[in-house]
Amino acid sequence: MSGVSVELHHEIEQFLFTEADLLDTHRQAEWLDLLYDDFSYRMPVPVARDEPAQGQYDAVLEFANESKSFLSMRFQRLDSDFAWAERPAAFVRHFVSNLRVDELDPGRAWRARTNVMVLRSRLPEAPVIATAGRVDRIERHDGRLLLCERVVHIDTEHPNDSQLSSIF
Amino acid sequence: MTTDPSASIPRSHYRDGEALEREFATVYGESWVFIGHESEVPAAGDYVTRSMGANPVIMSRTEDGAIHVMLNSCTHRGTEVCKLSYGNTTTFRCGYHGWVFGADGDLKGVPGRRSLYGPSFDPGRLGLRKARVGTFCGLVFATWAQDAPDLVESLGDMAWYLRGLFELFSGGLEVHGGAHTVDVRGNWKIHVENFAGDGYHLKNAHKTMFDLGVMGTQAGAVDGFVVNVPNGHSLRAQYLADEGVPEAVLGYEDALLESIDADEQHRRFRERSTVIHGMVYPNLLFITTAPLYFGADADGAVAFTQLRQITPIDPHHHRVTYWTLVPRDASPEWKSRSYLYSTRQHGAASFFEADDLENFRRIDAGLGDAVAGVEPFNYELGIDVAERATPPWTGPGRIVRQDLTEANQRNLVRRYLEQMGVEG
Repeated sequence: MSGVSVELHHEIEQFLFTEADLLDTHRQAEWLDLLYDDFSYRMPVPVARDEPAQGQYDAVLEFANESKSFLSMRFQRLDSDFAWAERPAAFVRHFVSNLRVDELDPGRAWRARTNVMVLRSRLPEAPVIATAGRVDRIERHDGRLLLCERVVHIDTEHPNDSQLSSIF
Repeated sequence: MTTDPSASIPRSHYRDGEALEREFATVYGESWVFIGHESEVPAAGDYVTRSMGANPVIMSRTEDGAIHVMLNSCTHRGTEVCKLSYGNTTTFRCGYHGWVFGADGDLKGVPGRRSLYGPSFDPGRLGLRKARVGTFCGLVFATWAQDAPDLVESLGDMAWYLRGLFELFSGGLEVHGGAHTVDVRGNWKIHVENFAGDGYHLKNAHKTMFDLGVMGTQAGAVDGFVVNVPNGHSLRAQYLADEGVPEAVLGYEDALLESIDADEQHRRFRERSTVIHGMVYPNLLFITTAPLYFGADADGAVAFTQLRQITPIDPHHHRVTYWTLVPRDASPEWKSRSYLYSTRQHGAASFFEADDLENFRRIDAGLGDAVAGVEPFNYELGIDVAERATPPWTGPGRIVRQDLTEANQRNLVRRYLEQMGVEG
């Protein structure tokens, strides 16, 4: 069981399920509340390299590099009638699985790796599915679990913009 | 006063496969097409794989320093000989029957050549199909048209502006990290004409960005101008209207500003500019902006410069290749920050970009058919309207003293119609 207790594994799993649910149900303010203040969200660009051992993600290029304050602006814009790409809202559904937890700092910080499938559907586009591996850093502050870092490894070299427009 | 007549591309050219085939043959087949930047292949043996119209190509550098662009297709059965995004090699070996090509595209080896092929077999005529290559300010272009005018002639007066954009700093620019691609909905021409000079959409399509205070100096008092030249190339340049602002290029380190190695008019083209964007016909897009605002964590704002190459996938989709260019002599910290800004403002996952991509897909969804969707798009903006401010620089090309005009789009449309041999 990933080197942590069943109880802790379960607690982190429930935390990630709740977090995904907040994204799927457009409760952005509550989602932001689960983020640590210096939260960072990065999506490195996949690359086709010669040697399988060279790694499949670029060290410099990123599809996204966002912070809590930047994400707050992104959500603030949803209140506007002029957020063309967000109105009407897309249907978004996260499927979160394959949780593996490693302890980074006893009782305080963990690395949680998950596989995710995100479906996004918004006319006139056909529904699109994107899958990715996520590496999260989760910490406990004042008794609450908070998301401190998320790195998203998307599973395609040629994503389309609909696949990139959801938060994984 | 702009009095050039309006012109428009038939709507059918945004949805018909037949039109796209003709575009590949003429617009992409006869023009100089942007492939990449010299700094992506700095050493002998370096290569990247790219698209050139419908064709997969390899851009490589050989020992003699020359840059080659060649069809990524084995001359035996047509197999792609390179599947990687980039790398370094002396040869490309086909995975099917093992034919081997050099970094210059020449056929170097054929398994069983002496015993399985006859004496008349001539490897010299079986190299990878090579395109003509031209470079300007570090930008690498290629064309299949052996008899086309050379690159500089084809750029015409656009060359002056490309120097101002890409040769301002004495050390030149380089690609930060490399290139990546994203596929988006909508005909490729929609994206190109947006960059050609569409200042009109900003305060509607991107209204939320202005409301959030993200747009930095672009949200203040500004004067804008558009420039277009024959062959379809154009740009739009915007400047702070406040005469009290110091005459400097905005958003660069002091040491870099001191390294500016350009004549007075090129400096004036860049100084106090809030944004300059445009396109080299048919499918190289560029934008350079003064610092924008991206939240408390991104203080210490810097400028960024982005290139895009647009490639049709089918009439309703196109592939965008993105590059961020940084001054070669900028500090590593500045370069990373500039890349961050490029990603947050104009990356495919950014919310600024989302507004544009949303409009591109809505255009695609609204095209209609050959019965109802026949009224051409309207390009009358700015015709018979008085010109306004005076540009801070003196340069070549047709400079229109209006920020909100479709003069550039009309210029692009005219070039396209001429090349395609159709009436507007």
